[in-house]
Amino acid sequence: MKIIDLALKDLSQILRDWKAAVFLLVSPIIFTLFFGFVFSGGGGESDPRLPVGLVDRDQTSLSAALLDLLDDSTVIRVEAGDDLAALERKLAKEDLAALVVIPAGYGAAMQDGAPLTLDVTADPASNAGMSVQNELQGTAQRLSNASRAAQLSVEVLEEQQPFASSAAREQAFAQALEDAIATWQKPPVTLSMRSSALPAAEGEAQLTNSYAHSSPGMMAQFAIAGLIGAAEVIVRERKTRALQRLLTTSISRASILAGHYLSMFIMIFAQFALLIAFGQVFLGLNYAHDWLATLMMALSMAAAAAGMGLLIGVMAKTEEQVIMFTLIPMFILSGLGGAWVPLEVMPETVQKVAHVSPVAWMMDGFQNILVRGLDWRAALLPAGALMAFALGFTLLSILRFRTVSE
Amino acid sequence: MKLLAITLKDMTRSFRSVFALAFMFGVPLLVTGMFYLMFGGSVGSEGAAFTLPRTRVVVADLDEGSPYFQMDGDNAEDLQDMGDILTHMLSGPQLAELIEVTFASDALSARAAVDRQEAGIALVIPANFTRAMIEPQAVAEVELYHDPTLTLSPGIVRTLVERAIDSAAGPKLGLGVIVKQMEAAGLSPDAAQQQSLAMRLIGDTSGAPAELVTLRASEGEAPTADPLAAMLGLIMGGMTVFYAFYTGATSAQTIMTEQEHGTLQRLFTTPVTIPTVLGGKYLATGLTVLVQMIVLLVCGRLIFNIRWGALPEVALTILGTALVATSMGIFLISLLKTDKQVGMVFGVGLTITGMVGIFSAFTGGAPGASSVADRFALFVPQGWSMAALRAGMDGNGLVAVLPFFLGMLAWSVVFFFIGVRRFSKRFA
Repeated sequence: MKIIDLALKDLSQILRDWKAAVFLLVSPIIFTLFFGFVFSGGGGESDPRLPVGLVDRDQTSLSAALLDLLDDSTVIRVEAGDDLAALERKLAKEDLAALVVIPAGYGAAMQDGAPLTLDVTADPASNAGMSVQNELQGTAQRLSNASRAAQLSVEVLEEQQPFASSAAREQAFAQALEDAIATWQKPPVTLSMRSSALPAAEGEAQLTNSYAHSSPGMMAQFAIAGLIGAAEVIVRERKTRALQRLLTTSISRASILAGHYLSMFIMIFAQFALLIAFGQVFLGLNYAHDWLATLMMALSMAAAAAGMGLLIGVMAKTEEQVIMFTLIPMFILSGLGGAWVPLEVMPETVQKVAHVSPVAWMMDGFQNILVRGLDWRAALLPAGALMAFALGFTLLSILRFRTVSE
Repeated sequence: MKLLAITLKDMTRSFRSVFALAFMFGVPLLVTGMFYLMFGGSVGSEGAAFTLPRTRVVVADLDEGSPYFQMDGDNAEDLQDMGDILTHMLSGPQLAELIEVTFASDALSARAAVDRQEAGIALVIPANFTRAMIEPQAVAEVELYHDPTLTLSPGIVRTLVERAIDSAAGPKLGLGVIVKQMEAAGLSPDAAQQQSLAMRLIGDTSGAPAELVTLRASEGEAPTADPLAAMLGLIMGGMTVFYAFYTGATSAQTIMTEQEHGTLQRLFTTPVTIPTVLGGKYLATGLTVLVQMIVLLVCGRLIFNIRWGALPEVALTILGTALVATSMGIFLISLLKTDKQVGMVFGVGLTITGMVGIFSAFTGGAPGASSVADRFALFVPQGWSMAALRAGMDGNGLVAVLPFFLGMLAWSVVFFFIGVRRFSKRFA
């Protein structure tokens, strides 16, 4: 009963200020929307393909054919124009991912079997730059193959019977090229892509939902950030000597710690519950397809974060130290754990090291639920790891709290 | 003189505090160092570059070949069909750093490996793969089954496989086009003629594909010779800006601490005026932020090889950031009445605005994300500081940095006057 009284006292202290509610709830929502929005490609464009400016200085049937092929691209969206300076300005403002110039003589050189290169301006280090480069290389290769087939076709016809005029030869080439391009658009071997997501996650819809990453990521980050207020309560209790007074009563040290722990656990779990409900209702995330799995993850992460908060509270001597002890793990554990950028893009060793962060386990668990569509069994390992973190943090807090002077 | 004495006293106090030093210098360097270790490279290596991790691909090669398939050359014995050629290409040394290939006996086992998260991608080459490449009417479908949490690697493997398919299917497609044109001209090529044409097409498409694209960085944009350093520049720049504003607020907090301890009231009983006290504290805070930024940027250059840009641009950014961070600190502290409010105001006021302001540090390299993030960031003063730093790093010159400096100046003036007005009222 004393533990509950202590927890309720802490909660009333933490939530007395309206700014606390803003920090605990509104900020993760804002950042979830923000991260989800920008990582979905941003700008609210209905066409998710990378916008690419294109200037055709060749103006031949082959350069026109290249444009036709690029129209079908699933990676880039061509914005053709004649004003190179205007397109360069758009590139500088990052309204375009890249700028392509088809050089004069491109078609003729391709017909001669020695194709010129397309001049592409982009950030070579960015994913967008590399994606545009790959797509253009593949498309130009197809055009080169089609051109070669058309050229050979004309040569074979010419061997049988010379053309009446160069115009007739050109026409035969154009017809063969058109056929070749049409053929290349229906290749004999196609590639189908299928994800391993189970139908329980409402399948493909979740794959394109960028909030499936940002929602659990921001939940984890702001669970840690929210510890500032909760840990400060413990520090203030010591500074104002309220702790020493408490220790003169019949309440034990263990009960005091348990009270603080309980208040943090309730606060973080409530924060998770509201953010999960927000994700389910407003962001189209299917947390509900296996409530047990979602509950296991929320409970275990709340337990781990509360343990961390307790440790911060007993270690920090001042309010300033609370801020430092909270913000450092917030940045390091969130960044390392994949709350901002998926662990997929990090080197393999780092992916393993990342799991020293409880955030990585939370991301694993929620990715299993939201993206892979798996059930509670897939939450067992991440939830178990988080409970181990909770136990570790709490044990360290108990050890540290023993040495706190009366 | 009194103003300088107050300044020196506050600065000495700041730089004596282990906590303040850790916060000012330790944390930004620690976070950047963590990202440095995360993304590879070793200290001082000029060529350190950002590389994607290897993707585990499990291949189920079910290709049964075709009686018409012939392979000449050194590997002819090992390469019995087109499926062998594809798997040979994927598991070759050129792609070894990008993908790690293992094999499964059938499609189900390959997909199961992905389901168990033992592999990221399963590639299923169908039984009629070679026939589809060679025989006129045959078609086939290659399946790429992937873990849905992977966002980049399925696209990379898809591009590799598509290129290989394009290259392998080229002769068949080309031959189809030529035969069609010949038939339209009233000619009917016999089998030998078709074989000869096919060999010519195979000859044309064999060997490594030519590079058909030249990629270059846009003018004015500094060439990214070291992508790792460029990425770390964003991270460390973001951390520097984020913690500069914290330093501004924590240094300005001495006003409130002195008020709570009663030393400020004692000071006011002496001939020292309120503007002198506030001026001294403002100067101390500004100089502390200035020192912090200079040390961090120099460390970034020396330790992580980050190029911050030309000296005038960097100097303007540091000056602007010191001004706005100090003014914002004075403003935030003027809103507080007791030490108890510090946590929440720092949490809400600085963590949220700081994260919005340095958002480009998190989104660096994400297609389409940066421009949106940059626009949002300008709603907070940290965003202007970050934008100035990035303009300098991009080598866009003083003209590009100046608008952001003026923006920081405008924020500073607003914060300064509100803060000073509130303090003047309080101490009047």
